[in-house]
Amino acid sequence: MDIRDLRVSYGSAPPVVDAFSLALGRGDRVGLAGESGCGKTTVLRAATGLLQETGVMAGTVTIAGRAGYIPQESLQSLSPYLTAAAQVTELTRSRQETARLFARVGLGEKRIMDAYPHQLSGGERQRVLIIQALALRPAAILADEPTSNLDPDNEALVLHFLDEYASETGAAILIASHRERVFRTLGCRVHRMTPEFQPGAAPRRPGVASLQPLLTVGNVTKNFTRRDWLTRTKPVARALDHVSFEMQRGECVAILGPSGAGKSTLARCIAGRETFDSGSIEWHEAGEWHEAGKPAVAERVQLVQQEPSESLNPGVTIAAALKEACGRPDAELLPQVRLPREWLNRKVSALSEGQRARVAILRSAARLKNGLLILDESLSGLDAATRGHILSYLAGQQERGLSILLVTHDADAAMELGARVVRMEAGRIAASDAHLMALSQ
Amino acid sequence: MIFLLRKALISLIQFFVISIAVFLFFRLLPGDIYTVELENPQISKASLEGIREAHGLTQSWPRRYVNWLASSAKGDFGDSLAYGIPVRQLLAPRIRGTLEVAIPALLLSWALGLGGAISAGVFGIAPTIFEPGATAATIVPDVAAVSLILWAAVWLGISITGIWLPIAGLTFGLLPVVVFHSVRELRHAQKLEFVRIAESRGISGSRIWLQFVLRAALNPLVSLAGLSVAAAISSSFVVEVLTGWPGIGPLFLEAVQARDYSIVQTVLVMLAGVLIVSNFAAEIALYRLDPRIRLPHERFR
Repeated sequence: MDIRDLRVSYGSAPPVVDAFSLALGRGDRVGLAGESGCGKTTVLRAATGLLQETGVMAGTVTIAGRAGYIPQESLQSLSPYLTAAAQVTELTRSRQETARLFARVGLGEKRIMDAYPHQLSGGERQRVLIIQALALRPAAILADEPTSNLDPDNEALVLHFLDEYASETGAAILIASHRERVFRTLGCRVHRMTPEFQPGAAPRRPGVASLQPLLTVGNVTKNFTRRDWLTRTKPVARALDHVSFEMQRGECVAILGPSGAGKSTLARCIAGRETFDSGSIEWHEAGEWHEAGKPAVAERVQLVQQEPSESLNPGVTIAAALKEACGRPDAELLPQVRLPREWLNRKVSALSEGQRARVAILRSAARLKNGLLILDESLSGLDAATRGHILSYLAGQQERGLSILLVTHDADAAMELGARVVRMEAGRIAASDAHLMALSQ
Repeated sequence: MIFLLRKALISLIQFFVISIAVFLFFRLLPGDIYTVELENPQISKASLEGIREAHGLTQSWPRRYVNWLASSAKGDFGDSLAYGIPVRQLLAPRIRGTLEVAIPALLLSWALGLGGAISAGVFGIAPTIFEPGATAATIVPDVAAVSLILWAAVWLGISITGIWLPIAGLTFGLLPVVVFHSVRELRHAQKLEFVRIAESRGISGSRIWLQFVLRAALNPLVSLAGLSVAAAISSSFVVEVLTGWPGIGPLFLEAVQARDYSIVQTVLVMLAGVLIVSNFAAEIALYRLDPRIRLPHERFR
């Protein structure tokens, strides 16, 4: 495979990838490293002919033989209408071969092969995508983060499978990953990519605590109900059990706890996205207490959910996305999340996952005037660099009076923002600590 | 299964609500078929009341609704007050007439519309001409469409006779909407990630079109097909009046003008029935077609 002088750009914006050249011989293995947004995905998609319609590509990509592209897993990459086995049989044209491939990646069970994509877990879908690519007996494998959704055991299994295939057939591997151990396992030579935009370091000043109240949650209780066929409702589980806590203006609070503890439900209740059965949520504004309205006041509270990038319409520009939030597209906002000002008119679809996440969080924060930004596991799916950019942005905003509620099981993020920790278990507040440090001691 | 039962229950409720609404609507209108007779000096007001009572027009409306529903269920839709013969006898041949026009026109417009959109995609004919073309054709009123077809037929030296004129007119009315949505959905489906990935893996020709593109575009088109059944029948009424075809259309128009409410009412409730049944059929089709509706999401959790 020979990629020469690859250049990809969208519209009049500066190119996403410029002067990229890489040659792989038979059996060569190259790992693409670099923070999110540096063009790893673009290189792989350009080489496979899967660029966005609006993308303009220059340079040449030649592959002697077939290319087997393994996309980063998402529900969009598999047909929702075909069973896992049928998706692969479309390519192998043989059921025995399909069954053999499924067995090789640990998915040999009939119930998995006969399941539709929406019934599989992310890791299982990722493995289906991998065997789809290998079913074609490609001469070059182009893999985009193929193990980011897998636990260590399955990662090892999948890498072993890729390694074995490449050794048997002499196929070349070009693999993008955030994990250096992936490159080590496959014995890759590492090609580091740098983003075409080099942001300067964001300033960081020590925070000042204000002691104005922001909101009080008092004895909030919520049951999950289920409707039967007559649409009568009956409670099936207690999601929140007399939850009470308070937040000060400009404060950062982290709700930690195991999954199913009611963290997200509490966050959604505060954001006005869900109703609760009893108790109260009150906001302090202009010296008075206000009952939380439904829908919530947009200037008062914004909720960012898991995979924040999904909240952006890929068809619009960054300017349009920001305009929705704060009335006018302000180019000066972009450097705050370390994106170049000139990108204001770039389409969301031309951004990487990490860049989209930054725009999404920027948009929510810009909508608020000294209000509360709730991040519901929004940082957990992001790579280290993007996470770092966002955390330093949030720290800066907090100093300007933004209050932050972090719902997470990532204690590190809470630590970095100096958050007060509230621990939840089984719908109750288990412990509320002045500071995470106190908890860890 | 519970999904389908619930949809069926909802459809049934819809039907009753619509039939009550239709029934009440005609009770709210002032006057009935005998109102005109008030001006007739030969009939006294008292004897007119007698006639009214004999026809059950003086009872309370819930009672009349139940009576009407009960007899309708038995296939007796009452008598046409203008013609003096049972509505059923009057409507039966007209329903046949309408179906003879609406069904072929419906099939023809879907075959031409969807087939055309698919072949345009397969052969790579510029789809950009379809959308504005279809939009332009949508705004041509049925009256103009029928005249246009007649004019074109004369110009081309073809004689369109008998049933073919209303069929052609109705098809011309339905086709643009079908084309518009088919082209749009297929184009959208072609850009979906899983379709593009399948293409990059070398799946091509009829397999990519049937197994991937059409499959992905099908959901909204199935819903549209459900709606288009009722649209075809009601548009057919207009085309029948324009072309003088003996379907329900001309009879319905006369009945409205003559305040022959038993006919109007029956036709409206039948139309509502067709709409509800065809929508329910579309729901069943979607349930069968889309595993995401049919199968639970968290099978392994």
